[in-house]
Amino acid sequence: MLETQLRSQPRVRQAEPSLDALAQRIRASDRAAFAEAFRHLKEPLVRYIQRITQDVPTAYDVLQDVFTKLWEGREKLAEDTTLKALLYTMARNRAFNMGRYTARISRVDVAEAQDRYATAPPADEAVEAKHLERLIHRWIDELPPRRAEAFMLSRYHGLKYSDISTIMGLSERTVQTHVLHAMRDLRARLQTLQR
Amino acid sequence: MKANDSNEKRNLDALLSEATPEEQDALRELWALTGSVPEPGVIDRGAEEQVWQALDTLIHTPPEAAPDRPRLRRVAGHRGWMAIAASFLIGAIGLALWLQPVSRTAPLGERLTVPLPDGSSVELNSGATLRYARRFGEERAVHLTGEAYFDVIKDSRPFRVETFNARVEVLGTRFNIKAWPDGLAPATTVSLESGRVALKAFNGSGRPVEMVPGQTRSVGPDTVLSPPDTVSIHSALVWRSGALIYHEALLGVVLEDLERRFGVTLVLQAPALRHKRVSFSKHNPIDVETVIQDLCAGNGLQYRATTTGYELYDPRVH
Repeated sequence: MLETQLRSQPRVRQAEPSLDALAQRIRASDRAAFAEAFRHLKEPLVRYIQRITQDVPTAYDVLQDVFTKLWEGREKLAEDTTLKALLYTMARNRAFNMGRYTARISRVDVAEAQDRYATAPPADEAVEAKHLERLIHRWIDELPPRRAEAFMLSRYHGLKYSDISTIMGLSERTVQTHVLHAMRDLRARLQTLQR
Repeated sequence: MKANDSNEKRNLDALLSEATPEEQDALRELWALTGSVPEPGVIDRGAEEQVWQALDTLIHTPPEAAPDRPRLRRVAGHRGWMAIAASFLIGAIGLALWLQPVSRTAPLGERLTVPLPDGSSVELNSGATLRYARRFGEERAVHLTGEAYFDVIKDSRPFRVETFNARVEVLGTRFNIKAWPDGLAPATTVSLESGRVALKAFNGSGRPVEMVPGQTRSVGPDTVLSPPDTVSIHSALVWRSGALIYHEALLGVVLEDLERRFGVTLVLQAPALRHKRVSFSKHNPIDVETVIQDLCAGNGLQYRATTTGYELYDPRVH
């Protein structure tokens, strides 16, 4: 029943330009293409980075660094650049480096911030949906980090396993195994709930 | 996100081929369930806007002039309360920034394409400024100073452009507006490429006037609407390709355009020359001096360099 409720809410998604074509235009110093890439990737990237930094402001610092490096190094972009995989890889490396200095900030901060930034209080009928959403988010948070990361990238970021394997520096096979295990973990949680 | 959806679907299919037959349905269901909730994470529009401001500055800075780039923020301190206080403050500032209308200006000598929140886009000619709300409500309203080309996405909400002296009501369409409030010939000139728009002068009598594709109409300083002009729509749009084309135009107006286009100061020795009619075209102007040279040569004028630009004069007057 919870599921039907959730499904009935339409998901709004923006059209995505061919990001790899953008890479070629960025290489030619096309600012509009750069703006376009930023517009399309800022949100997914920042969500992804937050998983690593566990801190919202730092995630935006990383986002800025990544796009700054992209612009500064634009002339060195390869012909066959997969823009998305490149940016995710840069973001990941940068986020882990930052993490060395900010590792102390606890996960609680993100959870708190999430509540604070939440917009209007949920209407009655949305309460249950919101509740399930929180549950799912918490289950994902409690997965082993790599499992969670592989799962998130494959589920929410429109990335192929081959891209994820580049980003995480793992074999495609391992990525797939991580995702399958994550799914099994989540399923076990869901079953406990339904029982 | 067609591509994304199909990537996600492929990801699931690959997984299912690994899964045991008994768990396939459950995994498929779980995939749908996790897809129906947003991804965890916090989106902070204020921080996002700050990042973009910094990047926008970066991409508009010529490489040789690039200063040490400013850090957006220092890495947060170790103490939890500090981080919380800081993020709260940033949130408050962010909200304040978020509620402000956005103002974008194409730097002199450059053009700038501004994507709007509804997916429409506006290409600004040098020196032009566009103001708009970060999020459109019931109607999509923007304010323009200067010249711009609009590509408006069709939507149930009306799209409205206001200039210093007129208003253009729009349905999905492409059109050019030139609305420089100062200078020799202040006017709002609308050239419609396709679709439908209605033009109304502020303080003007009567209803908005509908235009048909190919037409150009102006609202002058006296807020009087000109009769439709069918000069080629092409000539109204040449600026987008960087070309300069003038036919029997006022010299004063041409010089105002060139000043914005090249970021120089152009003066006339005799002010009366402003009203001289000139014709001139240059499809691929590279530098301002070549342009001035051609303009002068074709119209019986001469020029000399000044510290900030050029001075034009009529040699026969001396």
